[in-house]
Amino acid sequence: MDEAVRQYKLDIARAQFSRRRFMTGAALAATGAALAACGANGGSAAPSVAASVAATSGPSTAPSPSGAAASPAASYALESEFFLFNWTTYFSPDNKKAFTDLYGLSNFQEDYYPSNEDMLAKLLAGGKGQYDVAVPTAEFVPTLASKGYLQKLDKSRLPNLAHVNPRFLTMVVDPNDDYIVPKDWGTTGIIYRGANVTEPVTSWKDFWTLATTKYSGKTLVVDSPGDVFVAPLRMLGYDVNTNDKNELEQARIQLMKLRPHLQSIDSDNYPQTLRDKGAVLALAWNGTAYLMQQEAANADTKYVIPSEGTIFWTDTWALLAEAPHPNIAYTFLNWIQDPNVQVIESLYAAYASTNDAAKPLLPPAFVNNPAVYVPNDQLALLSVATDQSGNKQRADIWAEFKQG
Amino acid sequence: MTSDPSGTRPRRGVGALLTSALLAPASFWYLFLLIIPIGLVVVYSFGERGPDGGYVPAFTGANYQVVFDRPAPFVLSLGLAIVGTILCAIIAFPLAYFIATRVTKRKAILVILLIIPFWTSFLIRTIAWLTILGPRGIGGFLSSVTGQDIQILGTPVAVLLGIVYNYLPLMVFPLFVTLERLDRTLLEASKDLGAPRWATFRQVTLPIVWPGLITGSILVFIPLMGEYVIPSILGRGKVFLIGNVLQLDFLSSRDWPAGSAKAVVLIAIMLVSITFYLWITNRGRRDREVSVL
Repeated sequence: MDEAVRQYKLDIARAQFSRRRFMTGAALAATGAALAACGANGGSAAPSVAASVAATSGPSTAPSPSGAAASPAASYALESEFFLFNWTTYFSPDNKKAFTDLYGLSNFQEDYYPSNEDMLAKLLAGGKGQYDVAVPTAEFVPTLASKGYLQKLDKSRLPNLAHVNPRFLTMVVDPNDDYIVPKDWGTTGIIYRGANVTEPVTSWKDFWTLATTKYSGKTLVVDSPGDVFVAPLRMLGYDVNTNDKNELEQARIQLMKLRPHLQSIDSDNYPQTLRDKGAVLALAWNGTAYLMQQEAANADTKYVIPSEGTIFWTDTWALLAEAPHPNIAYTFLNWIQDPNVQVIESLYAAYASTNDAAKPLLPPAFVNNPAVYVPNDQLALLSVATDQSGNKQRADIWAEFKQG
Repeated sequence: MTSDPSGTRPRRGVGALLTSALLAPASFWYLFLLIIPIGLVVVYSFGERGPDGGYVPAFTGANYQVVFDRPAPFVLSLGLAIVGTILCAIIAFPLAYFIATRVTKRKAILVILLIIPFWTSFLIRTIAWLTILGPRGIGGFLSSVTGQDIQILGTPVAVLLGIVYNYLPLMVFPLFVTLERLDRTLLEASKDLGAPRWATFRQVTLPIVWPGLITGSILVFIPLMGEYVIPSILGRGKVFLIGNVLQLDFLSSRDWPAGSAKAVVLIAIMLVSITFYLWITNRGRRDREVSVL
């Protein structure tokens, strides 16, 4: 296999796992997941990825249609250093080089963290002036903001935010978009192996029925309460962020009904389980489905946005409170929303871009794949999850669910 | 115990100073990394979760109530730790005995072979069992032979296998060290005096090996009780031990008081069970010594 394609896929795999690792809190086991992913990616062909790489190797040098990237720089003295705090392999090296060259940076420093909790801990421990920009998941933004770690954005310096879909600028976690420059986004849904599961799968109800009957012992869910609670709550018609005791109790009954039929409750090795067909039906994240579809042996993998609705997550670029290089940071936040820059970012991370103007520039096979972009007619099914980790009832139910 | 009081007395002040100086690093270590943290954990265990997680001061026993309402992870952990330790001992003893007493020429090679697995990361060794027990390994083989869908992964059995595999060397080495010092002439004497094999084992070999067995058991038992990685990987998230409960409380719920209470209960269980174990084993040893005499 072509070395460039292989490397590209490895990068996708790493981005996938580093991005999703926080959900589990099990950073220890995550090395294994990356290992498993690398092993499984090694031998399969992926013509569509090769095509998309070829199609997008150019735009970094193409003229920017917005032309706005450099304009805010006029009135501010740009620093020559920029400190980014990010998930591993979650920022394209091509873009990094392009940004460094474009603004003549002497030092583009990127440090990494494996989970939102880790990022928070490192920021708390090391003080506010360590980095310019960090990449929290949206539900962590209120926590960061309330602790005084974020700056309110001066929108006049971010004209390229106009390219971003308004859905991501009005989320419940930051309704006036004081803090968020959206990055990539994705969903929680149903993955199944089309070669094995021939019944129609369109809803959480289908998932429950199939998991407790024909695919008992062949079904898995990710080890993440924030995602798993969504299924019974939406199936019963309740809000995903509900605190109502009775509604959560009904969700508990459904979860315990599902529990004996599960093959695993696992976020780290589950892609490998699906590849081995240890399980053929899963409550999981879209990125895994996309990755598997690129592998010849697993091309029958399907991804479904359940008809009752589900949640989406959004990662964000956030400007830190005492950023040592605020002007170059603003320049970066605006430049990163340039559609051509976004095309490279999106393909690198293998997730959907929040930037609408980038969408037509991306390969159709990428944009039209429900495992990457949610189809327009299903957008209404999506809602934002807020941080529910403080809810004792949910914690108790989850402990009972894990225990079985 | 000083055998030379006249020689040390004039230098006593210097000696005491030296003693404190040498003990200072260890004292600081235990004070700041053991005693104070345990004190904090106890204090936290009576508190409440803050709105963003963490700890806010309070005085409530609710965190302990949860432990007694849902004791299953504790019972399962204790059960797996006890069975795992016994299995390790049963497997390790003949191996250690063989290497220590029967092998003469290539003893060093066998000891190195025991160490070699440690050269590979613990995580990788555990993940390797996913393949061994999974649908392409023993699990798949058993399923195809019996015609039924047999899943080993995700059960306590898989966790037990992973535990015994990973902790076996910790049992082998203490046993090996004590068995190496076993004086063969004692065994011969026992035989000459007409003792059958079993009596020789019980009355000669076992009392000599006893300290190694106790050390090995404690080395295996203590980390087993807090084991988190093996159940997460081989248990497929379905075998829920104390380590997994703690991970959930501290990292997922960010409920430090709830996690602290469970940590305190875990420490209490360890103290009680190890005290009980040492008491039982010391008593047994005394009995045997009497019977040998």
